[in-house]
Amino acid sequence: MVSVPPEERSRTVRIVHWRSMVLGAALSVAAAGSLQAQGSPPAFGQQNLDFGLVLPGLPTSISPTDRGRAGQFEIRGTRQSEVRIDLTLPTAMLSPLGDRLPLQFAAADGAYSTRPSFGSASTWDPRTPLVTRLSNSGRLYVWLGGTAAPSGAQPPGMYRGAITMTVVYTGNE
Amino acid sequence: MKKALSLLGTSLLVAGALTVVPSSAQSQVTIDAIAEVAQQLTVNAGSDLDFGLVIPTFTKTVAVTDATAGTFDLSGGIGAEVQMDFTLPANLDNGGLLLPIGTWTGVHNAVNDPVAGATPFDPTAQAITNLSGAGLLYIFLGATVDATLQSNPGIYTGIISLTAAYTGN
Repeated sequence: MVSVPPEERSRTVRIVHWRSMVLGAALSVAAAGSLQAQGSPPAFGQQNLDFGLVLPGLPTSISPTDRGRAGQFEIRGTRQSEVRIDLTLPTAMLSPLGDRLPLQFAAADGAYSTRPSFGSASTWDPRTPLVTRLSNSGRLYVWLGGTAAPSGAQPPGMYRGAITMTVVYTGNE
Repeated sequence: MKKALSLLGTSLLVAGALTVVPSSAQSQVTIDAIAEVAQQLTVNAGSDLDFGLVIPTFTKTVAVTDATAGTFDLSGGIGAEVQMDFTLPANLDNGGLLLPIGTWTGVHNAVNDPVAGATPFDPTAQAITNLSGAGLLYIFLGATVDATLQSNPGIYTGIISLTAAYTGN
């Protein structure tokens, strides 16, 4: 056991306090840097889900494989990270006058791939969350089909509805 | 002192790990679902198919290009494909007296003209075509009535019906 003079003990405490402040600052910077990379995988809407001209009384379906008309998203993030994707799907499109055009989504209306081509895509039910991984280059491509079901008395005109994708990192390795 | 540093370091690391995954760490992006609903398909009856005066023991034909040809017009979605089904009488009727109708002829056109640009079709079978770029279609019908076995004078009539629907194509 070593006895330390009071003045010496006091100096030791000050040193510890100073070191802890430096350590704290260093960890805060590391955490901030990590948050930028991990917190929010950028997502982009690449193409609207476009039903084109639909006819009263006749449902119109768009396949997720329809390159020209399926909705498309792209996610760019940390390579091979696991992400969770949730789509907020409208039950109807609306006209400027407030008329509703029912919109339906089925189990095979969603597709995703780590490649931009649909050939390697897997299907999923877009009404449920999708948990998958980004590619080696940090990319994921998502396609969305659906069915517009106008009534026989559907008023003519343009209809529109918002489809929102929310993406988060799951944090899983 | 080392223990104190170690404890402090651990607590900061844990705090950092919790900060990495805040509940607001998410991306949101929106696209639109869009559609244009076409006008409902409507069918309008135009002129009657009028044979005029028919002489007993003769046949009489009204051509699709005649002014007395029967006409319909359709309006609806621009360029939409439609199917047309005609219900055609086999005879004209005058209180039970019959005047048989022989051949039926038809043309349709994007404009109100039975000649220039018109397309012939068989009205006894289902016809499928597209509305014009203005969402219109004009139908002209002709037929031949056979009076070789009917010598009773009077007005003979029949009903021609057209049912049209979008095919969805």
